[in-house]
Amino acid sequence: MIWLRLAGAFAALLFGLCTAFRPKTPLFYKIIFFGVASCFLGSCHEALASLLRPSAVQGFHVGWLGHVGLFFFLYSSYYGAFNSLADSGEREFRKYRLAAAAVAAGVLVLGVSGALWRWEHPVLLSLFALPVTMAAYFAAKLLFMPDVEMGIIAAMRTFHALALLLCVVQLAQFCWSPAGLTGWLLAAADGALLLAALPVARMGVRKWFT
Amino acid sequence: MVYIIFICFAVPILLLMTLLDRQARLLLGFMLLGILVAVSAYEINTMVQLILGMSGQDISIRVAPIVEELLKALPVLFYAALLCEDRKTLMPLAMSVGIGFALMENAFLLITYMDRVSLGWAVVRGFSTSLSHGMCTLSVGYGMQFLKLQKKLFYTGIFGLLSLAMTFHAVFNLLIQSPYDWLGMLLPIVTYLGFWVFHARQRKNGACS
Repeated sequence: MIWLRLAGAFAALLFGLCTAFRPKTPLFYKIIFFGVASCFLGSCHEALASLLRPSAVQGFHVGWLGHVGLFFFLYSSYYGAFNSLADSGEREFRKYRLAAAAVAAGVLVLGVSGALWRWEHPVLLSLFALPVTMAAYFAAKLLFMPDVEMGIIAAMRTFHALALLLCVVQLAQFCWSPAGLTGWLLAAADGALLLAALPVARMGVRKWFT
Repeated sequence: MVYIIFICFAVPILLLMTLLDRQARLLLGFMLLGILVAVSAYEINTMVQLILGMSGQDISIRVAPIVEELLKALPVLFYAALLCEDRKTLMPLAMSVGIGFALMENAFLLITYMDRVSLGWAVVRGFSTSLSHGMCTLSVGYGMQFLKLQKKLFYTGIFGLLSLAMTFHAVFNLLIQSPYDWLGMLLPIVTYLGFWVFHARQRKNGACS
């Protein structure tokens, strides 16, 4: 299953290497590229360790930090680079914030319940759910919010939906660790979402800047 | 043994530092800090190994990347937060910490495995391990540039960069101890060349505009 995610992350990494370092590329896009690179390294570590040293990938392992990095970068791109453009704290947007908080709480419950139910040592896995929840909050908020001046939110809405899906899929994959058909479906979805993340973000960023 | 090597490195570097100007002194000072960090990392890794009863290889794959990257980031973080006025100096200083760390690690391994080392070993470690440690700390140093400029971006992004550095380090350690050690050796070299080309292009663009 790991190979599907690795393939998606590798293709995304190649796409990012070709596009992220061109002149005038927005910081938002570069941060997402770093996230994808981190996810690729995490998947790479997991795949290599399962081939070369299977004992190193039992339970929480360093490869997971690559995925933690993806969500920290995603959170960073939202909180540090995007959020202030869309939401300056007006009262009228409160309902969207509450709706996003409800979605993020759902994501947290999904992660923590999986960690408690499926794993012998759930503490580190529960911590893994924290950056995912924070990224999911911003992705959901920006997905629900109405458009502001210059169409920034509308231009990026597909990316926000994709980012939210990525949060749910990766959290379900790691914390619930499903086997069989569900596991394969989640792994395929994970690979496809990673593959699509950068091209979709690039399309949005292009609309945003034109 | 590790403290004897530390003294052998630290004393000449400290003596040299008294003769240099500010920028060169800073670079050497951070290299010395990298050496000190390597000593601390050695102690922590040994302690964790004893407590958890893990093998040396397990420690280098599962624990060392986390401990070492956190420790290497600390001098750069303190400098960026308390003293730094010119953020452009941060990346060379971060690289210095990584290179100092690699120097100490190489010297320690050389003395510990004296009967097994060769010229090839020295070349491989000289290039790959130094660049691996250097590039990992450099990536964290890149994030430190935003500490005073864009606080929101820094507080969240630095964890991402640390995770990236730890994972890169773990992949390198995994490969270098496997039958695919040549791939492990190539990883930091290719990354460094990519960074070098990018940096050169950026400078050229900056000079043109």
